[in-house]
Amino acid sequence: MAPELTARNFAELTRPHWARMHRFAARLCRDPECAADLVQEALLRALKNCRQYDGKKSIAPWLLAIVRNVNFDQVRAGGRKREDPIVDEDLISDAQPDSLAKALTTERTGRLEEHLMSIPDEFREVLLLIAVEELTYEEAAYVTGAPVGTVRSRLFRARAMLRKRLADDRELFDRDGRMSK
Amino acid sequence: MGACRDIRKAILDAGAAEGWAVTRHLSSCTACVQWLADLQMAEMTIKRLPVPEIPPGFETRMACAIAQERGHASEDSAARGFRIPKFWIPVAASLAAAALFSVAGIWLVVKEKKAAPAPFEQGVALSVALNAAAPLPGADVMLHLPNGVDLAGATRSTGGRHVAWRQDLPAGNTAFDVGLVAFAKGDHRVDVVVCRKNDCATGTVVVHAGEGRIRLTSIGGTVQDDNQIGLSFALSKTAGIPTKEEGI
Repeated sequence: MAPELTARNFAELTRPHWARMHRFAARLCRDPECAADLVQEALLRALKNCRQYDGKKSIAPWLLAIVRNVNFDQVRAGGRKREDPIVDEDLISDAQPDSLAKALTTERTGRLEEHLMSIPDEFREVLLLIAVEELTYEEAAYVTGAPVGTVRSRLFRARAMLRKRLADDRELFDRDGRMSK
Repeated sequence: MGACRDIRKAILDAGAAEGWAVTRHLSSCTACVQWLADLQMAEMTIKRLPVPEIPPGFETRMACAIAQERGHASEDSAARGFRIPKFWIPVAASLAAAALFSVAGIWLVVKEKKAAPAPFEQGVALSVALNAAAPLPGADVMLHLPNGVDLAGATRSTGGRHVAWRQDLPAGNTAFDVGLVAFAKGDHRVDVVVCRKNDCATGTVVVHAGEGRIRLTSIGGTVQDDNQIGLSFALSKTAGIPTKEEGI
């Protein structure tokens, strides 16, 4: 059972998670410079609502949920364009047999980052929460407000989208499946 | 491929390679096993990505924002005060009259035990600008926080706190922000000291905490606005003794 969160101990209890919040925010809002603003807004919102944290769970999912909600509000206020709908046919096809293995060895992280950011928000956030932040399915469901089954499905689809984007990347790989120079 | 398509869709929908039909198909289809393995590898590429860098001053900025918000919150709650709803006033008056007669004796016994005052807290962000006429490598920058003021987010110190760090000061302005929390009303002197070896210069910021909004003024510095103190720093000629007049 975590200690009660109050205005007095707020900074002390949340500080160990600030870097994690920033990491999540940076990959949610697609603009590294906006991530600090997002985290600050999230922390202030968390401070105002610190009594809502019941202490039964780790504080990290609660904070990440607030980061996500603030980002969602900002996206909605700014009218950001939603991505194209996903076509499952693209996700289930065979294709490159070994380009993913090469992706794991390439240093072209910038391209990988672009592919990650091109995944629609609701899928990318689940992939980040589970693959990067190492939350459980239940914690990711808490953060996103979606049922656990939906989280699992989104995770698999996110993986499939990333797989397809890596396979289609002709700048990262040449026609023979070798890493481009 | 028709069966593979159905199985893969089922896996995507369920978010797991579970179920009798799926398991049986995977036991005999290397293409779908490879497809599943590819999904795992795609996730591994994400784990390889470098962690986004935290901008300089991020922690300080967050601490200051929290300190300021805490200050505003405590002012708001103080301004709201305690009010009895109108419909409770007759009831409260009756109860008060009854209580006056019944507990007078008890009051004499317990009057020494006064109710603990509500905790007082006001937060403020202190911005300090040090101005060095020439580059100053290895300068020691210190903050002397008195009892009644502490760093935002720190475990509260009862006997004051000294915060010190060493940094190279380039010529010109070097600014830093510190989140402070006053937890006692009154004026509190916060000394900012910059030293190199035995040569020091100081400035003093007074934190006025109490009714209304927390304020900052400076002694020996220049008030840039309500929350910012500018200190023009130069080494004093008198070794060993911090003086607030010289060079500030």
